[in-house]
Amino acid sequence: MNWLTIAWSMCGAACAMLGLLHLLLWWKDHGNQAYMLSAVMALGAAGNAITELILFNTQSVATYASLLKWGVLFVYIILMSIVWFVYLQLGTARRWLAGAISLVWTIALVINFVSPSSLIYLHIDSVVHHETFLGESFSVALGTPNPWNQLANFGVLLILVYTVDAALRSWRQGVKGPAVLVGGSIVTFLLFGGIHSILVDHGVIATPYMVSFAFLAIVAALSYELVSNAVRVRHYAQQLALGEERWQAFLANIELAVVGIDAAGIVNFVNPFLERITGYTSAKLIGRPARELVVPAERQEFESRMQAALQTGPRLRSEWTLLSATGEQRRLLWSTVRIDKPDRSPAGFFSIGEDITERVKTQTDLHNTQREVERLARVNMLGELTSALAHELNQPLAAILSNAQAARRFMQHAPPDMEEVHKIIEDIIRDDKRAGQVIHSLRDMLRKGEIKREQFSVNEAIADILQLLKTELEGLHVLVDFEAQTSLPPVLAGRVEIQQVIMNLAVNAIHAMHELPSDRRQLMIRTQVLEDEIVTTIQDSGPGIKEDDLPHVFDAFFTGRSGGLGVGLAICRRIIAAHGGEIWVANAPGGGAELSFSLPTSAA
Amino acid sequence: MSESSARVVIVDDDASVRKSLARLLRVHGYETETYTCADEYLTQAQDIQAACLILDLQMPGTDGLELQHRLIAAGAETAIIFLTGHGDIPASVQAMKLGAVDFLTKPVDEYTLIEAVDKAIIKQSEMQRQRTLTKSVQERLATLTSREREVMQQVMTGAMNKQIAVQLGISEKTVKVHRAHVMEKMHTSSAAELVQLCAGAKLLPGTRANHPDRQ
Repeated sequence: MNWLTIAWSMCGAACAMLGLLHLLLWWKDHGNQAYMLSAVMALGAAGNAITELILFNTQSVATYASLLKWGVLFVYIILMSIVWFVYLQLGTARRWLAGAISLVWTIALVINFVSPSSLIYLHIDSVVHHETFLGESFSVALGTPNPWNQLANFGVLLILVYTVDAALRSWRQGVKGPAVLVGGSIVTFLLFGGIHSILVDHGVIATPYMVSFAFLAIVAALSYELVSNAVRVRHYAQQLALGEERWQAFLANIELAVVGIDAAGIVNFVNPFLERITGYTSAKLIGRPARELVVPAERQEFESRMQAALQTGPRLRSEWTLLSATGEQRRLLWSTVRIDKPDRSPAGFFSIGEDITERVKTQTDLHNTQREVERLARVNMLGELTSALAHELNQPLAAILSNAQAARRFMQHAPPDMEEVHKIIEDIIRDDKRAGQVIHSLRDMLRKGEIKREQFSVNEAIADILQLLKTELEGLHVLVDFEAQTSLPPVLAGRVEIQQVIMNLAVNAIHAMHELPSDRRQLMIRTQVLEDEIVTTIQDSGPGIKEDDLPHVFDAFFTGRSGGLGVGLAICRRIIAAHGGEIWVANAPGGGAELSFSLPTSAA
Repeated sequence: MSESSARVVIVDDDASVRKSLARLLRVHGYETETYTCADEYLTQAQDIQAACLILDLQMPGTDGLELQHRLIAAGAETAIIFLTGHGDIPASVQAMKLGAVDFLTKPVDEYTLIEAVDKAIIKQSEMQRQRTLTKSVQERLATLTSREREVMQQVMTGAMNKQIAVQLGISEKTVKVHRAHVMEKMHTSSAAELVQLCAGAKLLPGTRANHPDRQ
């Protein structure tokens, strides 16, 4: 047996083996058409190898021609398999090109069987014997080449273009390995086999046809690609299993409730945390309508929200109170996603809930505490106010009563002392007005109008007030010294309210200097930035405030001057406190009272 | 109005109240003096020893209760009516315990006020009368010799001349002479009248003199 026989037999056997293996894989991996195509390709290559082997030993021209026809059929089968394999495997090939190649080669195949001496030769003149370098002999046909063979060669050229194009597109999409392996092997071995065949066909070189080996190489390369794929798939499957395991561990241990609900509103998944907080086992939870898990008061809303979510997708976050087996209520904050079936219809929901019972309770407690503190402060202040108000109103009322009763007596005199009565009535009017003013001031103090906040400069506010007080200041010969800090940051506050404070402090300061000789009346105002606060200080050159009185100047109805009601500074304090600032008083080292207030800068 | 010329002192920091009260009291025939605060009253009033006072309970500086304390400490015989803006029970209890005549709430009705003022004036004039009597009895007592004082003490216990003579170790005749001097100097005519006078003046020295060892 010569070595050609051995080599070609082995090539054919290898191809057949791979073909059968792929056929088995195709059968096992139902419907994976890549296996089917590679099986067809390998079996075609096996057929081609056998045909070539027989050709080597053929003597008759007629047999040679008919064998060539069969060989072309096998090549056709192989090439078609390659084309459609590339199409399936890389997924980037052009379908129309694959179709065009198939058409060209089918025409070539028809010509192959119609023409008398196959697609290769128009007619074969003779079969000559050549010897290989190891002295083995083989048959080669001599004849006129069939011009239609160019169509087949054109078809092969198209396959090369088609494969290179698909591989390049695949490469660009980042699928580099398969692109190189599939594209590279097909192009390399097809070029080798194709060019070699053309040379043999045209009698340029005298070697056996070696197309079989080229095809074996291609089949081997494509098998490698398929096996790599299979290994990769298994690897992915393992990773997936690992991911699933991690996911399970996560669901089992996380301190969050997880629940799956189907489209009918029935619970189909729960995690251990949900079991723990509801006090029900998963067996008791799964299969129950989800609305039964929430407290009865929320069930109707839950139901309607779920129906709405089925239509429009769930609200991302929602709060529901769960009712546990022991009747305990837990508040949970849920994040929900709607799970859709492949046909886009809703399959149900998957929700993760955080137990916020304690947080809500803490917040509620805090809120209640704050409210209690506010209420106490209000009650306390009301008590103080009532006491102060009783005193303040009683004075004019007492005076009015005594005056009125005195007037009644004077009227009874004969003749009535009308002059005295007139004086009394004047006093009554004055006292009545005074009582009215107390009430009015009180209303001012208690008024809780919304403060309209805006950004403005305290310096400008002070300048406005000084402008308003100009006449009074000049009339009293008060020297004003305004030290405004340059580039003062603005405050975000109620401009009217802050100006009211400034006005109040300035007027108080002016009043405090009434008794002074006119050349010593000095009003000093300065602004400065201390960290994130703006401090405004208003100082007078008056007698200052008695040490004992210092703690009380901001109390309601505390007054240092007769005729004053003592609510101005109390109102100032309320306004400044409402702005998050402070107001304080001190006696200046050089004499005179010094009132200061702070306001946070708008950036703070 | 028997106390028509009585003087009432008003101490209140509120000018309107001061003025109207003074006016009402004047129309009722009282003389009034007004002060704006306790210190002004203590330093500027002509006589703080005897007065009928209307005090505001709440005043800056020395308040009404403190002024009452100070007057008592100074031994002044004053009848005090307190005025307060609102009923302050602990303060009123304290004031009444220290002898305040009344504790009135502002605004105060004319009749309530006048009634309280009349009561205070009676109390004050009673105290005044008492004080005058005591003073005059003390003056009369001061004119007695020590022997006459001893005799007088014996007389006031109701002892007979003979008993006194034995007690003091002198003759009954001498006792008679001393007794006549005592009656003359004390402006009395009988032992009973003498006892009454001393009791009225809250001076009963006899008891003490009778039992010096009991001191």
